[in-house]
Amino acid sequence: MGRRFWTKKVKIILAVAVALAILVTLGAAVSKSVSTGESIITTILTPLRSALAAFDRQAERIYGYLFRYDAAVAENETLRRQLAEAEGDVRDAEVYRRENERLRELLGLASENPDYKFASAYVASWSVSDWEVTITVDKGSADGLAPGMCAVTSSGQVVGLISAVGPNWAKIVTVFDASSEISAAVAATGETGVVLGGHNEAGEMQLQMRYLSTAAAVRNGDEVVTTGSTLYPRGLLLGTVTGARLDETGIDKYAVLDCGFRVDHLEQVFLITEYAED
Amino acid sequence: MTSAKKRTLLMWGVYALLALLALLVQDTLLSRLPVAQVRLCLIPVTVACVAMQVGGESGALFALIVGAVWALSGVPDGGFRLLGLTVGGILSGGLCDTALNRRLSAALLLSAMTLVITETPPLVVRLLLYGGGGRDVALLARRLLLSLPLAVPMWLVCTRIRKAGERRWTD
Repeated sequence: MGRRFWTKKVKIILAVAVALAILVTLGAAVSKSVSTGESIITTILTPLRSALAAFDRQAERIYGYLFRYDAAVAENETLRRQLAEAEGDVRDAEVYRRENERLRELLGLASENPDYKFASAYVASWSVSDWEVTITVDKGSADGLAPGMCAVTSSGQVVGLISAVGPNWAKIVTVFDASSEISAAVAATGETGVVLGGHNEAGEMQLQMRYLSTAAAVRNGDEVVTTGSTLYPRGLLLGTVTGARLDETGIDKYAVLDCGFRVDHLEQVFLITEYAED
Repeated sequence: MTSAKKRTLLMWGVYALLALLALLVQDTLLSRLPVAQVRLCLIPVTVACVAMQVGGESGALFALIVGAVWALSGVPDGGFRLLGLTVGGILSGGLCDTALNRRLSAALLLSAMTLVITETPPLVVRLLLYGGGGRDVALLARRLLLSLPLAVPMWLVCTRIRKAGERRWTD
């Protein structure tokens, strides 16, 4: 007790903090590229983040094996029954193959798009803000990645776009981020709109397809794909319609999409490093 | 180098590792596993607990360095968080030097204060620029409240580290 609070040293440290905070904020607002400091720090942290994320995944697998074994066995039995039923459906599906051919062409990836080149990367860290939904992966410019490249899951689902890269890391702004806007179309009907990221009233991440025409025929289960632009290749899956309703004005229609994956469960993503533009 | 200096250096090395671990845990585990739809915040709690152990000046410097690394690691609103963390470190260390004792109750109080100082300005700016309402405020309040219990283990660890360093205070 009896020490002085505002010593000269504390005042200097506070002044330095204010100056650094202004520099960081202005740098983020003005510069479109990553600062040297951020590149260095993130380059150093990425291997550590990857190691901890890998440890976390392994711990989760062990936990799942130890405590969810019975549930896994039950789920396995259910899936076996479903598989047997599906095999019967497949035999009938030949009749519908031609009708579905256009949808398969839209949704196929590697086999239907031989011009696509992929690079795989593991997720090292997840965003910490409740408004920004971003992930950082463990590959970067040294592996041929660059800002603007599109990331997808193994099933061809759009995850997001690379916004910044370092030598061994890349930051991806996911489709759930509030700044994400993607030109899209309903695969079955061709109705166009824009898919926006955000949260619903319950605070859960959600995709919405907005700017649909009021007369647009949108059904539950319809798949929504990218229409192709300078940012996204054409025909990539964004999500499946789970409901359509009128917006706050009561005039415009929008659809809520289920994109089939959770950001916090993502383990590996695939970056489309090259593709031939239509 | 005297043994006291070696212990002091070792103490600071362990505090640095603790801050690094907090940063990594926050970026990986706490970001991936939300609690009640919010992501917990460990770094302000860590800085407050360390600063209250080491005092105003050293706590301020520690908070500045941790804040700079955190901002440069790509955290959103890095500038605000850097400044908030430094102010939180100054106040945590300074109040423990002059008015409070280094107990768990003070750790909880100072951790809450640092959490509020670090996390509230980004929300205020966002509300001013983009609008928003009670939901955002409620989410922040929930996040701060649920992050506070992290101060208990952190304070215990920091106290052990300080005692191991055997730094003498004139109270």
